[in-house]
Amino acid sequence: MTAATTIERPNRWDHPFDLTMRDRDLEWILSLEPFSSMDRDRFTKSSPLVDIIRNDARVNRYETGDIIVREGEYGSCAFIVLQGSVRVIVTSLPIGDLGGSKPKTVSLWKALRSSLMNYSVAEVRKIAQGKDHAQASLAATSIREVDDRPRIFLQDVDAVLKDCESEPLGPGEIFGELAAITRSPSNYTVVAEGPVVLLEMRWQGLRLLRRDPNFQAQLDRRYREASLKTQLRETSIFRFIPPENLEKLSDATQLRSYGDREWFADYRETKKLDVQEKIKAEPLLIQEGSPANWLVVIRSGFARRSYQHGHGHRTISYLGRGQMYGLQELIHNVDVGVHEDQLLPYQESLRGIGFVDALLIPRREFIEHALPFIRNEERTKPIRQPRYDAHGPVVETAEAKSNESNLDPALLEFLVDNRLMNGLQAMMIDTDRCTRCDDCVRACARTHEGNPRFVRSGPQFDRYQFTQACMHCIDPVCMIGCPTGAIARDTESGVIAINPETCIGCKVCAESCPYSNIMMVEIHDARGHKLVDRESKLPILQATKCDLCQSSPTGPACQLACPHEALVRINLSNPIELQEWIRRKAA
Amino acid sequence: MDSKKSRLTKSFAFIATVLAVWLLFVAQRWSERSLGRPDFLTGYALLAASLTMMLLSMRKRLLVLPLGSVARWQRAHHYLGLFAMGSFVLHAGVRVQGGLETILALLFWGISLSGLLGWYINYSTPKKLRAAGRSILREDIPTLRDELAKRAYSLALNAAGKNESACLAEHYMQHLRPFFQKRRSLAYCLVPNGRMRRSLLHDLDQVVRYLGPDGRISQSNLSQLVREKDDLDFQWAMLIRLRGWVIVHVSLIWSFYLVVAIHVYSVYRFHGS
Repeated sequence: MTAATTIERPNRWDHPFDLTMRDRDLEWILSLEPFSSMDRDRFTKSSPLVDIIRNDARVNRYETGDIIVREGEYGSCAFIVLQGSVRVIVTSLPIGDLGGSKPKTVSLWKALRSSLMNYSVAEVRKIAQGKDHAQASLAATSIREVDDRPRIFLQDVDAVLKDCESEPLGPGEIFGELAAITRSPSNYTVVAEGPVVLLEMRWQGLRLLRRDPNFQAQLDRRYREASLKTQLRETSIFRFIPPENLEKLSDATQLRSYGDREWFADYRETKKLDVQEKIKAEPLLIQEGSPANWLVVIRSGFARRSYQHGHGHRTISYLGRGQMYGLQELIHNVDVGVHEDQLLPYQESLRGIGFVDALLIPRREFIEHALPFIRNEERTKPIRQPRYDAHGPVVETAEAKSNESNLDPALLEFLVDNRLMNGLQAMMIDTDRCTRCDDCVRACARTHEGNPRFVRSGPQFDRYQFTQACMHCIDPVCMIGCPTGAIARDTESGVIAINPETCIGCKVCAESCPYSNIMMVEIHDARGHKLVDRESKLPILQATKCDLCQSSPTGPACQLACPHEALVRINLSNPIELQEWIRRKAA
Repeated sequence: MDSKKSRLTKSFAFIATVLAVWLLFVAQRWSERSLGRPDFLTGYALLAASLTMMLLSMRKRLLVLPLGSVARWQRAHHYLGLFAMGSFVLHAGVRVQGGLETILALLFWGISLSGLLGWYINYSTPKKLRAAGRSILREDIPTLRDELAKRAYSLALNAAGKNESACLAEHYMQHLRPFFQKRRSLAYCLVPNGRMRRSLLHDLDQVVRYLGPDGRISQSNLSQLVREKDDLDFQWAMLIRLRGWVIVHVSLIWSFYLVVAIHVYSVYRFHGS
């Protein structure tokens, strides 16, 4: 028998959010709204209110003009105002004012010059120092340190607020919770109006706080008022529903979250697990064969549609934001007109991949308020060969059901297992055409001043390689936690880019990226000298990654440069687009 | 639909190339009748085609210009190559006289043959590489080879410590060690093949009868390492061959242009003499 080492079992709160929180701070927080009015008996003994705040929250101080939440930012925390007030700016501010960078297309002349140059030194940065620094401080935003944390702040808050639509939030009020719970980009920017103290609450703690019914009701109300109706209206098949019906549908809709929002933290470890173990570990939203009582609409994250096949599960498709499950069963039961106790159950299982946030619309409300307004051409066809009926499985070994995209089920499984369906601009190489000439790598280097922004290797399925280049993901976990907002998504193009002027090299984005597609590089000045920290003498690093050649007038150089049409930037969240490309390449 | 379109495009481009050569032939005849110097026309057509083909490498460098993908330029390069071959035959004929002209012809046909060979290896290499396992970066291959060599050595070392599998260690020292620790020959790089792999695996199979249960497991692992090493060598050889081809093709092209410059100069210098 091998020797064992005895250790303390790791606990959820081994690593508190704020190590410096004192009992006095805790007492003060608990005396303030909304915590003072919370029913402490509602919390379990293992996670009492006081421990939630002690471990999942931290007190932050902000100075006038500090940007707390940026529009378009993906956050994992909510904020509760403890002292002072903040301004929620509803009007869109220019991305440059928020720390990110607006992609600029360079002139043809500059691009030509850059293409013809031979760079002896890569990753050259213009660093604002001395006189330049003074000029840089005239920009709309700048970085300063508050409590040893870098903060982006607006130079002239009053001037910005004068031209914007904004509303104040005072003590006891909460913001950022929707973005934190649904992992969606924030719709607004929040700025400190004066010196302000905020409680930053991790989403895990926020979820526990929902045990208090008043707090839960407050969050639900805010979500229903702020975005539920908009989301239902934006769902394609609901677009003709009259407002009063939509109201009723919205009232009946349940909001549920499944899985681990921080799936990316241990993804590199879990991906080594056996496929069946991985599927078993996924949270089950719908069990095949169970009564079809809900229409599920995916609000954020991804879900796997699969059915039992032998001793395992075969994936049929994956669903992303706005897609729904259960529609076919619900419509079938209405169209075929079967008796209540003969209703067809769900034909497949639905599991969350990592994390999924879903809306559950009850069957009766859907049939009453929504179904009559769905266009005939959008109604699904009745199920001819059900896998399950009201009495259970119909056939023991059902024939393999083709998925909507006709994509090879094994490829679908591969994309899901490697979380590649997250990619909106993934780089895919057909290795049956690729001669490994590396023209793509050279083209990338030429476009990015001598340093390629990707590595031509990565997971491979059959003849297709999914290269290690930023995929500009639907769920950009790299953007969570960037202290300066340097990594940001351009709202127009959807491209996620890093602003070298505000990147402080903290590595948060590189460590969060589950695909290792962000690299930390040493940077140089124009003379080719390595930039080194004055105090520690260590090289200064910055994050770099594929920016989809935003500055180039002709788009991604890698794809353009491939002489064999083996490389493509493709949206893997859409299996139909993928199948279409594969079909063309196979022809 | 797309494959049909692609086939149609290819057929159209091929017919257009043949037609262009035929038109050049007609023009040459006309020029011969009217001007008495048919070679100027075909010579300039050949020069124009050759210079246009050179634009492919410029295109690869100047990607910022909105002039279509490199893949399209490469296809145009292939058809221009065919046109250039036709033009050359019209210009110089099959039999060439004169020292400089012979060098020029040799270089031209060298480029043409290397071009055709390049077209073939660019087409066939990716499939062969895929058959040899997942795509690996060329610069990673030496490290992976070293790792395999270490694993093989460690297997053999373990076998040496046991009586029942000591002959496996002996076999490793005699037959497998050079395979794992040395690079393959230049001949293998030029024509990669599976002869050594088959031979080594066959020899390893012969050792099985002298091994106990543990030794058989080690023998099986060693066989797997032989396969992996051979696949790596194969990928390395194919990639080196591709790089070698590029160097040969480009060197021939620059030599050709040098001789063409001398040829054009001498034609004008001695024109009428």
